[in-house]
Amino acid sequence: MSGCRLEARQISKSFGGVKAVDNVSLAAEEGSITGIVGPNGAGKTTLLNLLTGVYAADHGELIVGGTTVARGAWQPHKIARLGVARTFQSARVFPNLNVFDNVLVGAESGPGRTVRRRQAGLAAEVTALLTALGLAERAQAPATALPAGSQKVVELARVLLARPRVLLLDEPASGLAETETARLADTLVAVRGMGITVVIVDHNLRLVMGICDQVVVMDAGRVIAAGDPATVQADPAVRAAYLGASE
Amino acid sequence: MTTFASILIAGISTGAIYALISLGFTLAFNSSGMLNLLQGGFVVLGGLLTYDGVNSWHLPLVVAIVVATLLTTAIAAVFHLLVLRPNARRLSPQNMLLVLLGGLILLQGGGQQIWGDFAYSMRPFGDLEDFTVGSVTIPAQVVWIVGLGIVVCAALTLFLSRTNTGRALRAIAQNPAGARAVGLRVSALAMLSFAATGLLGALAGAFLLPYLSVSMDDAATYSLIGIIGISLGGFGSYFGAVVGGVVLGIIEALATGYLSSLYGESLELVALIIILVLRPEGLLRGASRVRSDTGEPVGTVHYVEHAPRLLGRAVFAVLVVAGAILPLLGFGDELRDINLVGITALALIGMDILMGYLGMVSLGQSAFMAVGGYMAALTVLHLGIPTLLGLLIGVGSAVVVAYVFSVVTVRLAPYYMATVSLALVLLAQDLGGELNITGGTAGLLDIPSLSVAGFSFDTDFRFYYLIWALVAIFGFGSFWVLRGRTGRIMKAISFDPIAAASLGVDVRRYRHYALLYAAALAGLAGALYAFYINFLAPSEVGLSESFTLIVACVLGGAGTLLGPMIGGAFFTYLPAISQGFQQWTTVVEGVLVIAVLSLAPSGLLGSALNGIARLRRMAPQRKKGEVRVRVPA
Repeated sequence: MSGCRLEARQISKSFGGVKAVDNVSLAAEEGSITGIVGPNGAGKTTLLNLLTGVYAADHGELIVGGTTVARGAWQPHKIARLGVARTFQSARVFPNLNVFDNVLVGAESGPGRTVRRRQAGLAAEVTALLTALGLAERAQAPATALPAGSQKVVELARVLLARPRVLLLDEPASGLAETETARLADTLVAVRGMGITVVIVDHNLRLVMGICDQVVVMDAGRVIAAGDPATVQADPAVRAAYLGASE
Repeated sequence: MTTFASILIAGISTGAIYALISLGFTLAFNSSGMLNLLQGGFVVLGGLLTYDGVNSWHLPLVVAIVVATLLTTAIAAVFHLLVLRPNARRLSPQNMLLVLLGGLILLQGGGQQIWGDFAYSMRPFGDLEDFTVGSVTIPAQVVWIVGLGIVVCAALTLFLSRTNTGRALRAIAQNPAGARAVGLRVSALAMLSFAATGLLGALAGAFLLPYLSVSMDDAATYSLIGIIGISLGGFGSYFGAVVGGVVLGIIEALATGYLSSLYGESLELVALIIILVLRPEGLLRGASRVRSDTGEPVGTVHYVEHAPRLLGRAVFAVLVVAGAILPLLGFGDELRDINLVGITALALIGMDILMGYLGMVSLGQSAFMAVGGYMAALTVLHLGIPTLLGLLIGVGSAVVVAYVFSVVTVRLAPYYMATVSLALVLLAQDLGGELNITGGTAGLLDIPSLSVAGFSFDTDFRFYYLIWALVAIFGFGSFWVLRGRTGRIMKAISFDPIAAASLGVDVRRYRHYALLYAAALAGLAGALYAFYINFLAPSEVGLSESFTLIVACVLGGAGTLLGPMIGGAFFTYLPAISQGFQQWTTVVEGVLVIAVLSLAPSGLLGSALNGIARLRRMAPQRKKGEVRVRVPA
């Protein structure tokens, strides 16, 4: 596995009269962790939805590892096939599939030929992944029979099977206990160690400031500050908009 | 000019009725986010109860209207209380739509027991004579209808803007979770507005009665009209519903007046498709798009366990052997009914792939059966081509129609897809019934039997092996494909297309090819039916056939392939052998679809498989090579 650079250039998205994402530029370097923070309604999830093609941007460009995403290709499955994988705010497992099959769907990420070629060794790969993440025992259980925290792990196993070059995580720490968050931080650092580019959106500032190489602060659809954690934390605009208000 | 003025008047008056129906849809949509398919049933019920009130119970007209309206409102409230409310947060939107469809079938079937399929009508209210303005005649009832429309719009506007309940309803439409959080009783308000849809529908029906006639048969059509109305005006907008309804009425009147009544309905369908493709947000909504496409899926999707491999193989072997020797046991006429089950089974394979695997609610299967059947029969009858070639043309035509249908609907939300498919089925039914070439409602007679290389499948015995061989080939072929990767991906798409797409799944492609395959099977079933029965009429492949296919899927267990065939056998075999059952089929279908979805959404086979899996889990696991020793107590 290796990562690639993900860059958004001046992307915007409006819903009706609301500019949810307004002229945002952002570059996540290969093998780094970028954190996106900001108060509720700042446009973080919309930005993530733009980066993964759930929405096509009204304006702006998206570049995945040197490939500029064309207008017609700004769709979730096409961006996924460029190597961009994501998780959702609350784990979105498929309730009508068991854990094993849930993870297997992750292998769909890639051009048809690669996907078919991969099918042969997949069962072993999934078993290994589930064993590593401590879910091997529950492989045949319906995914929704698992507690919420474990469903997040299923979702993580699913995106890892996709062998992403860029991994975007929407609030991975929400609902996790302190120790689980610590384990998550270790996992993310390990993922970065494999060269994968990681982007996380989270409210847990200790996690974000602790592991990120770069932090992007959003407010009202705009980026109000970006840089390494220490610089961002010292930024007065950030303190006013977000940190000051919440603590 | 005179003609134009009369047409415009006709358009405005039907438009006023359509506006009321659309308003009912909007009320239900805004309070609970569902498409109230029962609305057309309420319209017809209101009209027929008013008729009975005046003619059978000899009530004064006003009292009859009040009684009819109250009864319909009460039925709506009870249906909400007993069926919709308990399921509201439990079922997925698709299954909720099916429950509403079940309600419509039940209402229509029950109504037909009372009123039959006859069209009822009465004198204009107050026995008024038609007015003449200049050279234009205005039917008296038009004044009443337009008056009712204005009064209802004014009352609804005041209610929504001036009363607390009205404001609460608007709040729920904007943000149900928020409304619940500030203490609004969302489910009570949803019930209130659902009852109000009954009220609006019944009033519309009562006022419609003297103007057009009202028949239980029209229930689904009026529901469709309401859906087209709100699609035109924009989902969720009251003003849009009124505009959409009136515009639709005028379009229909213009088409009927200048072309023919057949084109009136066809144009509605075309209008719907154009609107959904070009402006899914409706005519009035401007550029604002509702931000709902990333919403998390709601409701639970039933989980069906895999069948134990050994059991599956045993069942397979038994079915094949039993099937092969069955006709040798000396069946007479019953073989014919078993063959009809086989034809239904073929269409059901496609239905289950769409509904059970992909979660698409499509009423289109019977339309594709109609296309397949008519194209096969007509080409053979008129062009004199061999029947096998006719069969292939039938299947090919069904696939072509499905291709167009798919291109139009595949990028739409499941709701729209169900709507367009309903329109398609009604259109096919109308065309079949009104065109000369199809023989009208009387149907096509003397269709030859299928013959291949001189061998004619003209006896029940011969046809039995043909149809069941096809069912076996397509059934087990589909099962084999769906057991693995394809079925897994389809099930992922059915619950959460966005999550599936984020993993690289091309959702549209799967939906597209599934639709084509399902249509091909339906076309094949339709063509085989025509060649087997040697007769084809629109009623055989109309909306009720689609209902039956859906109910069969739900009853047997959607997403299991074999289950729907069991359901199909139930609904094809029983009416065929029992007149009594045939009469009540629609009612039984309505009750069953509601009951199964409410109580055991996995259906017969799904529940059985889950039960087997639970038993196996309870049984002590024995590892390989392990020896169990019974220890005396």
